[in-house]
Amino acid sequence: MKPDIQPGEAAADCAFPYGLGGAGVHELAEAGFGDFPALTGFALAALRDAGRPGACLWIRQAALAREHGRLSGRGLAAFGVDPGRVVLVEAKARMEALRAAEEACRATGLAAVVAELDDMDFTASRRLGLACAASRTPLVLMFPHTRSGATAAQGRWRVTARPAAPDRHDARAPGRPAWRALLEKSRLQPGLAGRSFDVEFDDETPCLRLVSGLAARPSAPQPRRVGGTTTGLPWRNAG
Amino acid sequence: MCVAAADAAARARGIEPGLRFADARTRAPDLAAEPVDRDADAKALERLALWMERWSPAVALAGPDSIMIDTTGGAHLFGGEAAMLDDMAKRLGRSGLACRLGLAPTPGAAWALAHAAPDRTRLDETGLKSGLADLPMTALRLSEDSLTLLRRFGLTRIGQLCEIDRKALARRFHSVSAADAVLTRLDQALGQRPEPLDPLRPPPDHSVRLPCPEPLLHPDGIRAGLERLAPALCERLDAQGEGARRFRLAIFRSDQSVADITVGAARPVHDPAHLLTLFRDRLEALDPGFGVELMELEASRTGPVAPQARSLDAVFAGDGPDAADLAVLADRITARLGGRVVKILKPVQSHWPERAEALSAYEGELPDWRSAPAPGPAPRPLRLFEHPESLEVIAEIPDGPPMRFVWRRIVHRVRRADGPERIAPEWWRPAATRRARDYYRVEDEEGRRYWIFREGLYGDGRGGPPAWFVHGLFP
Repeated sequence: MKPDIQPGEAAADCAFPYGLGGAGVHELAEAGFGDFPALTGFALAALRDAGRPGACLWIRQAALAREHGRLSGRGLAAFGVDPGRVVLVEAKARMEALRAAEEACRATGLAAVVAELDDMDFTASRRLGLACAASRTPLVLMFPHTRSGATAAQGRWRVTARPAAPDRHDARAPGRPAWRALLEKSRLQPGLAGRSFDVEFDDETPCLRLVSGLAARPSAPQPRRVGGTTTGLPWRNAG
Repeated sequence: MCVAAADAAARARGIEPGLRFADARTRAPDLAAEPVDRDADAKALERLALWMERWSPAVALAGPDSIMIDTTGGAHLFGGEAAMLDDMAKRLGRSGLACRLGLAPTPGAAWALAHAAPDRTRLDETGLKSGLADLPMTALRLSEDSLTLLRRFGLTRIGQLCEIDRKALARRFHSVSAADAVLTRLDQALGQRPEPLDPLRPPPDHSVRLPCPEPLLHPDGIRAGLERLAPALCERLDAQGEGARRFRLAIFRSDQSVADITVGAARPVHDPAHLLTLFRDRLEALDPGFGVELMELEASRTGPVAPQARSLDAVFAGDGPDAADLAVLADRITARLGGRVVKILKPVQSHWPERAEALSAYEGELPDWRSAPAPGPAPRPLRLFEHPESLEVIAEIPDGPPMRFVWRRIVHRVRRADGPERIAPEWWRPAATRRARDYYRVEDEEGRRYWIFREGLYGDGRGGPPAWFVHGLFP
């Protein structure tokens, strides 16, 4: 039982990550094959920052679990999420996953519902949106890079992994997880659609934060990337 | 080829079990014969026995042709013992099954009555000994050898065996155990030695029944019946302050068959509405067939019901997930998807990555990870493969991290690497499969991070050259 008025929710919608992790349906999709772990990290970080109490229901479709591995408890713990509060649902097919998600969205008292699906049609997303509307449970849908088509979700993000800044203590080791998130569509902030954000997950604080272009650049000689610069100056990691 | 079994018509023409088939043919040229199938017979008998549960939950098989039912304290529900036997004979006879019924205070005596006495003979404790006295020795469930021996002594009636001196009898058998077997059967029939029944299914903790005056033919009837049974069962559970985690709904059809569905709950349940939700999507699986005569709802795996109210502090502080709500949700999802689909991750006391955590079914309790042992000095990946996937690797030095690796036919150039973290196998595992692993956390040019390991070392003498695998993915 939670009070109906969520203080600060309106303000949260105007700032990054623009409602992700709050009530409603949000979609995350891979930018390319292999970005699923980045997607998982981005979703977890956003949900973590939303800080809703309760258990998190994680629905996964068997095909995707085979492709990208299953959630690991110790990995969650390292991410600052209590694995004891994550309940997994194993669905064999897409329809089963959608059914479980709908049932979960109707329930109250959950911190969030996360579903890994291979695809979904507009009707299904509308249905899930209606189920979420009453309970105000956040629903995060995670899709592979093949996802396209219309959606009734509040927002859709495309997430890709980004080379991390070097570790503070060991320059040869990868540092904090870094991603680039493209806001493809947003109902709350329609003007921002099409913008991409460089984000980093600070595992010490821990929180998700935006990084400026300079700090996001790794210090080691950088491989050529689309849209990236190729200067090799040893920039210090900001913050 | 011999005759294995014969019906009343065949017996009237002198065809008995054991007769050669050719002889039987000569006695009755129009004989209808079927090859014997003992497995199918046993299965049919078991199905019939399950249907006999409509008279008592304790039903056992007794030999290849007999069913034992413990009706203690239940006969009055069917109008007394005689009426119950008549009811059984009538219902069995309706589908053309010939039966012989006997009712006695002990299983041994009941078996004897059913096999040797006139149909529907009943005995009570006082008349037990005299009632059995005239029955032939074959009614005592003895081995063929013992029967032959007893016949040689001139003992053919059970009464004669009762009168004889036990020590004198034991001396005449070739072994003590053979004599004891005979006396055990006698004592069991007379109720002087216990003979527990081994029921086909363990009796449920609670059960409620709904007999239907007219056979139900429509699935909606089953639904309506369940709606009456569920509150009755829950009331009974509630009176004991407990709930159940397993429910079974059985329908007894008029053609001597039973169909049932079982649903499970994550934690003890005694709420009729929730019980109905659990059954809601499964009821279509029950086919009324030729009509449902009796419905039964059973509860098992009972346990105390957790107090329902949450403290107000916890509600406002949002302290922890509400376990009861979560269990209800898990049950609904399980009921919709079927099977044990709701899982939790449990920490395991092992440093070996495959065994460090277990995916187990959710049973109403969330695991406690606060006291979980630390996995190791290096971070663990967020996504883990159940089975590590093999890699082709080029490394600068044999014991160093790779420079380049091919995974799923795609080349990845390693930009940064962290490690190794050496994980040695548990010493109690078989030595042949024990190979130390060096784990590395690597990042490729795209920024994707992997948890890869080299199994084995060069020259460790445990199989060929080391192999590389990817075991997990970092965010």
